[in-house]
Amino acid sequence: MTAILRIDFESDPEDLTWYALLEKELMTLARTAGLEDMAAMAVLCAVVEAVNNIIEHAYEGEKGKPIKIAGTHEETSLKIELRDRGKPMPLPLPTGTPADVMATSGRGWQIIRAAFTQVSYERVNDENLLTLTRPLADALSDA
Amino acid sequence: MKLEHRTENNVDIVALPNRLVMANAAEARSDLKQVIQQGSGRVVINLSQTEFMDSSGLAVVVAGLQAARKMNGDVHLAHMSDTIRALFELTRLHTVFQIFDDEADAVAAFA
Repeated sequence: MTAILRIDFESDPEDLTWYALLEKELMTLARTAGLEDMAAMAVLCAVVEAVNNIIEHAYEGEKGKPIKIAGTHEETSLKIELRDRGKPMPLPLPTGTPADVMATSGRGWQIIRAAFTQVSYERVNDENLLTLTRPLADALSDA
Repeated sequence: MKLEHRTENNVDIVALPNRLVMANAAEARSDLKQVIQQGSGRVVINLSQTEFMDSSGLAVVVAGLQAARKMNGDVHLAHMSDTIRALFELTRLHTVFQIFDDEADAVAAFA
């Protein structure tokens, strides 16, 4: 069985509404994939961080720019794709090394990497595509 | 946004919102900093209403701790949900905050 999530919205650094929409749709997908609440919340946190990065870095805080999120789960994995038309992501991708505990930034990629064991990025036709994949066998046993 | 704030036994008690995320973090950070700088530096952050926090929200709490410590104070956290506790443990922030189940205990720990 394959479940599908699709959310399209526009960037706005001061908008709170997309969080609620993403929470509703993504938590439903994650639970359908068999994730327990803590693991589903870890997935939600990671996708929120990825969207934050698009708004803050790819679009540099500019409003009204397109963000597309697509999610699927199959037997073996949960996959989330995030697309935007902002600045290309610098490579290599951050490793998610833990930030200093007293730092006031630098935790986003740690949260992303903790929830998704496979992360890939490509730039296709002036579009950024970040793909986050979580094997479901692992997902069922940890948060 | 104005954070809910009251004072009890010379301890500032601040409640964070339902969602503390990039969209409202800057305002929350400014409000919290103002409360701390105008108070004793002894702060309890009540998380009973807070269901979701991202890394921007974590930064608000860390900035509060920095401000409190500049005043030789501290920040105690109370009523943290399991999911936010997991986020604190992932980012090791549980090692720099005293975390209490109950707000009254968090206030009393300053005595």
